Amino acid sequence: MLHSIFLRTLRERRLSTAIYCAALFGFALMFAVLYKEFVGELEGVLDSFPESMSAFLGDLSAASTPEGWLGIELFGLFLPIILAVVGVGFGASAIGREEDEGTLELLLASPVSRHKIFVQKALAIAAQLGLVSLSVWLGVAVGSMFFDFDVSLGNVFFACVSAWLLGLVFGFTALAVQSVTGKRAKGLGIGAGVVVVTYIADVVSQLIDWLEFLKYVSPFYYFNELEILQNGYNASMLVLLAVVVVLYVIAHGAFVKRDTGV
Amino acid sequence: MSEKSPLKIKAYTKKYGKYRGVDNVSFELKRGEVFGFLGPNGAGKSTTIRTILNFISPSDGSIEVFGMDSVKDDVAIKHYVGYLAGDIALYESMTGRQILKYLTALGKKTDWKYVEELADKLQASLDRPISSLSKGNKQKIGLIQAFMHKPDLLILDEPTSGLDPLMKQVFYDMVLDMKKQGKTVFVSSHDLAEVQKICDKAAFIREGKMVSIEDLGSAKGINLRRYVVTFEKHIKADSFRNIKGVTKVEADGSRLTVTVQGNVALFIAELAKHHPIDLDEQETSLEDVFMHYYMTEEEK
Repeated sequence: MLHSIFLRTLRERRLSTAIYCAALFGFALMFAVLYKEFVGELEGVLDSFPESMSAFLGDLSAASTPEGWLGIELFGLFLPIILAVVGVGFGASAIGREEDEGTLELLLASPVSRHKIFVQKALAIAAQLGLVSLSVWLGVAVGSMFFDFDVSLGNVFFACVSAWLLGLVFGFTALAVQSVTGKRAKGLGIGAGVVVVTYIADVVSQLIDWLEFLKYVSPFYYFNELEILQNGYNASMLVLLAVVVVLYVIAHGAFVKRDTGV
Repeated sequence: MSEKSPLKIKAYTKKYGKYRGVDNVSFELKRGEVFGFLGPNGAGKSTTIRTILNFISPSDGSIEVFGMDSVKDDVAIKHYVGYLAGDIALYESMTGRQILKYLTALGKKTDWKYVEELADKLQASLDRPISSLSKGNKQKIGLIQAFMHKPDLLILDEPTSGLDPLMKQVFYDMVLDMKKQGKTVFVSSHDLAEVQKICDKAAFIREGKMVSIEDLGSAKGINLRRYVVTFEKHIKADSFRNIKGVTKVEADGSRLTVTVQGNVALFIAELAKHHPIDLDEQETSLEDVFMHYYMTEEEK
């Protein structure tokens, strides 16, 4: 079977994937349910907020619409960070764990090419992150069906796709580092470092005028959650996709040529 | 395919940064041979074997398996090869049978009747999770996955580590059974006795360099013996040093350790003159074998 490595990799991580999915489903559902309750309170508070706080929390005035509320409370802070961190974990471990533990040799000693091994491992990372992202959409969708929360599910879907691509950027960063060095710990460490640095760059670029250019080097800028939640598909997602493709090519090229288990 | 050498190593060199892991090693196996690859830990045995399987690539030289290049044809080669490492890693959450099924899905042509036969012989637990197995029992699963598709070339890297003496014997029988079927076996070890027991030929490697290739079946074999002799009185090594066949002498009080190659008659005759009270033959260590090679090289 051509896809058995893909399926096995998914199965190996089924518990952690299920926990992430359940947690994010519940989290998204919670925000859909809480909207009506909080939106009244928010309106009074808004005027007293210093402008600089919006660098961290987003433009709070937008929170009075369901899309804006999701953009600030769910997609603005927690979701991108969670997906980035989950992505780094999946990315560094998909091949890294097998290489650290030695089971990669079972695959390499079988009549399967390194290309096929790599493609299936990368697809497994994408599928895992996809399930986690999709569960956010499901949480919102269930919330809008059963509670008073009128939101464009199409736009939320695109926002989830953008979040998935953001997670993949960091996941494939970790994968590429692991593929080049052969060390899972380096994939995790450098991957997490890139998440932190690019997140700080995104915040700083909003706070300090002359550092505004920094936003262009941060994937968080291209995540573009508010815009996508308001208007659906946005070309900024293509930037994330392009970064994902470049990282994939680097990682794939490194893995097929590198000495393994050294 | 059958007329091509199962394994041909040509001027193989592997460097790690500045360090030279393996330096200019060449040898060739014949079909149906059990070929030993002998050397101390860290000599470069595993590095060489990992290159045959293309886990790592050679810095220089080349390796061919049945005429196919280890790097270019690495997928095709795997159809003909069974591999086992002494410290094999298996998926801890799976059972032995699940792992064998997984490897079959990846393209190994498993003979399931043979799997049952091997499991029976080795008393392996195929249906328990790997995490619950001892090192020896994991090694049995490793042996089965290496043999289960009856490969034309078996590559075994220190395969008996962790096996008890009884299971080692079962393993030796499995190897001889393969040989009978015309398969070729390449087995690395640091245990000379083991290699002498099952191998037709052996290559000796030390510090990454080939030392010698020996025909173990013929009379020209190594035939090194080590004796520890205890005397009544203090003994000097000098009178034993120049005896033909004696390659190494060490005296320690009334005890004498002597390594002899070939005919022992002259050594025994000299020994009798000194009133020995005890004579013990010991297993020849790999170090003795290497000493022997170095001395013969110096004599040249």
